[in-house]
Amino acid sequence: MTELDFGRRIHRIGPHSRPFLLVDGLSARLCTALWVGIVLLAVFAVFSGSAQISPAEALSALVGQGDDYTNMVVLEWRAPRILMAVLLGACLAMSGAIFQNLTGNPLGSPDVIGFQTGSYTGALIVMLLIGGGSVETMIAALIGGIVTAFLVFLLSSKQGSVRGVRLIIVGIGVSAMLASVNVWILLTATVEDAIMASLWGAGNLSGVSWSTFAAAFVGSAVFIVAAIALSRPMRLLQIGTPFATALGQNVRAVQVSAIVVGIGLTALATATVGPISFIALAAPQIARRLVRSDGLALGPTAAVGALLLLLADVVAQRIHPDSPLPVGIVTVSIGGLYFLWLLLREGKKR
Amino acid sequence: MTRLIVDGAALGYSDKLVCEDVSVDIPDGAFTVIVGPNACGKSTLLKSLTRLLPPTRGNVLLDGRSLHKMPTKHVAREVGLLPQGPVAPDGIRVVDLVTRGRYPHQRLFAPWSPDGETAVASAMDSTGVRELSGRLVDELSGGQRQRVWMAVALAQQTPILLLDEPTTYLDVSHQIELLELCRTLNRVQGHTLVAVLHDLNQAARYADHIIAMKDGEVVDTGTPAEVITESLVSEVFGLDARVIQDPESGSPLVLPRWPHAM
Repeated sequence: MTELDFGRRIHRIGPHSRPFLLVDGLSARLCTALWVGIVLLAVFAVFSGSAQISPAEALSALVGQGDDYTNMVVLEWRAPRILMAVLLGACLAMSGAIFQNLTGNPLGSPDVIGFQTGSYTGALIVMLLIGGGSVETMIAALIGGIVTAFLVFLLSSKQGSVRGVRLIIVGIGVSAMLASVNVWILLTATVEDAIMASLWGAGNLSGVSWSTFAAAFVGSAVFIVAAIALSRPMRLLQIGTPFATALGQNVRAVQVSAIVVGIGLTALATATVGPISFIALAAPQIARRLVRSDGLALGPTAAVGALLLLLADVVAQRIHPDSPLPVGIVTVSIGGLYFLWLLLREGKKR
Repeated sequence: MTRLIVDGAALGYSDKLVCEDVSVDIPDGAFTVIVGPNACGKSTLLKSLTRLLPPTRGNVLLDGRSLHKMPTKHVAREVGLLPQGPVAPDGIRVVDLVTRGRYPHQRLFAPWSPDGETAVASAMDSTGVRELSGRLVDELSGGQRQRVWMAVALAQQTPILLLDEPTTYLDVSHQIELLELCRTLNRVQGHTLVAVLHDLNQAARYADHIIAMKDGEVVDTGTPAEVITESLVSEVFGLDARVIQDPESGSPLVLPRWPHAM
């Protein structure tokens, strides 16, 4: 068999004579390291917190021998919350990677182009204007995000094809308009309702139960599998529509499916825990720099996103013991710093 | 036998019609070059031979079947295209870029195969970029990069290969190098080649078959000696020129007239 020089380490997956998959060595090592980090952080999060529970008690709850209080805190509160942070961090990051790939721009992420603001509008309409419980709010947020996404695509597409910068600018515009609509709806509400709605709007992982986690897990599994299946076609798209078409790709179908999957991942995350920005924006870029990849590194991206959101939530819960912050506030703060760094770096290039 | 036939096709984009009624046969196993002035529909005709541009009327036939009604992947195993000015993703290595050419042969969850590896290796061998395999595409010179793109198209392993202005932006030695590569592919490996070229003399030297176009219409087709004549150059390009025999290759050589005293 001919041996190719890949310029880096490559692992061949499959039978020795017929490998069917190539895995980048650096990417594999990085993913392993990130997942070890996630597990360590998860262990730390499950064993510590504001409740007076010793690590030994927490361990006994995990093996099914804890008292009722410990069981509730560790198994019903902490565990699903940690898993939810990992799952939604991965979802948001993958969604960001898909949109950045589609727009060919690091700013083309769903939180920048207004999908999450639209979800918040949907949630606000139900919470404050129509009135409804958490399930109705979730559905409204899902619809709000999807409608906003299609609005942005409709306004930015020209002859049916999506253009990067145009999409981002239209998205920022739509997002700004929806943000003022959100403020207006909040102003019409009573103070208590407005506080509750704002808390949702800040992105909050508290109050996550096993049932919401299960729902989010089942919903996202479909999109995650679809995203993995789409990753190779999407990487091909980077060399341009003419070449991709000549290489046998149905470009339009790939773009449309990628948009649906990208919106699905973000809308699902936002509907479950409220808008959480920055993960979708930063995780794909961080992953790309770490693995020196030529584009869509979905595996490392998902791992970076999961680690970032879990870390942000751990920090948010512990930053002030008496008043834990919504996780969205922490991600927005880190996101601001990242954004500044990105802009300064771009500025230096010129 | 001609596998690829354009039959009475109207070609154009949503806002304007470029060719009203074109019919050409692409001879099998030959190196065909399409020539003509800017905006004459050369690239449009080439694109219609892939699935990029469906004709609004008439037909493009591959083995007697309508090309635009065949499954995309099926077409991609028969007809390859090197488009004009393709863009390499940031930070991609030569070998990974060439591997993208295997797309129509790959399966969803098992993209790699020994056949694929052999095809990638031989595409890099025949374009002379094998030793650049592990390098970043960004670091290469323009000539090397164009050979890498050729390797991408070759890795697709299609009997028919279309090249849209492959020599543009290359300096003259790299242009010749690329045309020699095309000639080798055609003569040695038996690829049917169709290229759009700007330089009439290069077309005359390297082509077996020339399609001359003007204003969206095919003016003449045939061997270089048949097509490249003083009257055609004047008619198609509006250029007053002498056509002599190239002392190197024996093909027609176009010399624009010198309107001043010697």
